[in-house]
Amino acid sequence: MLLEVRNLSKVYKKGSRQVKANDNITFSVDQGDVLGILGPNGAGKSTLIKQIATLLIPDQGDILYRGVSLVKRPEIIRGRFSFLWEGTQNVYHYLTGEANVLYFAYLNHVPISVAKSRCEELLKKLNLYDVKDQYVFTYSAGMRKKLAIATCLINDPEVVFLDEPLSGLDVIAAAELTESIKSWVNDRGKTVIVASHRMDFVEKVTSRVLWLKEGTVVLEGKTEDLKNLSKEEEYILYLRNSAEAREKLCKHNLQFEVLSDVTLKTTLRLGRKELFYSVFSDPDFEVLNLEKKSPDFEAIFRRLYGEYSEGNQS
Amino acid sequence: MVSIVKAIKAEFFKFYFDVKRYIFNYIVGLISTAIFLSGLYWGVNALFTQGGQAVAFVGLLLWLFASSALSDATNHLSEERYLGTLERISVTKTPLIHILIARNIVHCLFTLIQSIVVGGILYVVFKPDLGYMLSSWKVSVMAVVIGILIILTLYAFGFFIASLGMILKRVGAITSILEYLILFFSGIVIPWSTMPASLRAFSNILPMTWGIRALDSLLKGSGFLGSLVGLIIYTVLITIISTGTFRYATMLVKKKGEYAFY
Repeated sequence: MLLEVRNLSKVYKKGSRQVKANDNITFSVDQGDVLGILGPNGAGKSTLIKQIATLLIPDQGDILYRGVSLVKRPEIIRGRFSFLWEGTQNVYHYLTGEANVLYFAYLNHVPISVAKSRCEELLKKLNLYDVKDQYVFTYSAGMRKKLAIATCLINDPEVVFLDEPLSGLDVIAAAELTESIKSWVNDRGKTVIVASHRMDFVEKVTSRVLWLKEGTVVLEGKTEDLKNLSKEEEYILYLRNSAEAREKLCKHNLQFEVLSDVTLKTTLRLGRKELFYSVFSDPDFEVLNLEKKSPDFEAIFRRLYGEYSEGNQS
Repeated sequence: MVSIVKAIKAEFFKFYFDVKRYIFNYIVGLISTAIFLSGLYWGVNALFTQGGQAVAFVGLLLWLFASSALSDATNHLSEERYLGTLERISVTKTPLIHILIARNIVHCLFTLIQSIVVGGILYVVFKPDLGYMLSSWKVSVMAVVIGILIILTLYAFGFFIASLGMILKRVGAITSILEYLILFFSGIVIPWSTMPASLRAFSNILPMTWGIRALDSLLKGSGFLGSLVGLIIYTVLITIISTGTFRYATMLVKKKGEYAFY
């Protein structure tokens, strides 16, 4: 086992108020795992990562790296773990892009020649090589984030932690960064732990997920298994556009979209068997095409979380 | 030791970019410092008798290190906490304390260059009487040793203030007050003979006082060993206190979740 988190708890004291950020969290990470820590804002994701980073001392519990307690020997993670923190404040703005990466390389004792070649490789891969000599304050938020990732990877760490890597990025920058991270994860086979509330990102990048709510783990499992938990598979039907078809869809309370003069689009749940039968047997419906709809990761989580909450209440 | 050497390399690299980026600000800083110290030296020159002139000259140049040690250490640590880079450098292979020591060494070397330039200007303009200091190698070497100990004390004191700044947020703001207290009440500008007893007692807790006292005695040809021992004890004590404070402050902010504020 690479990393084991055992009964971890952390309470923040703000005056007379106490906020339970992490409550008895237990999970483990194997080498090569890409674990997503999901949850809404304030769920305790960053607190959890900061405790693993030894930047926050737990009130209770322990974190074991290859069986060694990080509470007792925090120095053991130095150079082995890399952390990307939330926001764009991970790099020095008055240094150039290349200087930032090399500075972190030197602090991680990477030999100069290795650092320089690895820096070039990383900056090229992240599309930052052409702007390597520019000061970071001239970079966009997306470029800063990518640069911060380069500074995290320059020492080839064993485990990489990414805390909300897409926060503050626009759609295009987020998509680009997702692709960069995905490609790096696939190429290197490293252990990665990502905290995010972006379901689409977690779905694309991770192999396992941990769902946090109010400081506790409410769900844990393989990303694929969770996607397959969709009990109500949906199909998209493309039908010949006709007055009869439109009238019958309305009669069945099915919403539809007119795509063109010849095509209508509607969605059917597998659970409504009688409708499936009706559509395929009724001569007024001419089925042009049929597609299985991908399960909506966020919807699955919301539904499962709802089930969890109901279960807890009962 | 290897870790500190590697950290020095990294800090030199980073500092080079800082100077390159803010070269104009550095030059302006150098000129303003030269003007400030020239005016101060000119004004207080008349107060000093034989030997005291050399103390004022060397003392003012050493005070430049106080300014660097106190403000830089506190401001850098505080800035990095707000920028979030402190968390990044804290998990690198180099321990944070080594990074901060390396940063102090780099800044100290830069201040040394600064003090050589400013000292050169002051020497050319005012031709201070350094005759006794340069009269024998023993006196010169002893003066250098005392100077090094003063610089060590100042950086250890700066580290103590920076560590306190981790738990008491307002400490950073009072470093300029400390700088002026050191300047005026360590015996560099105002001779002890003119100070009231209460002020003299207060000056004993300032990091430059024991060093300036040792330097003053040395350059006046009187017994300086007592002050030198006082300086050594002060240096050792402040180093132990600052290291202990840093460890305690780090542990406390890590417990409270205040390691960074970004």
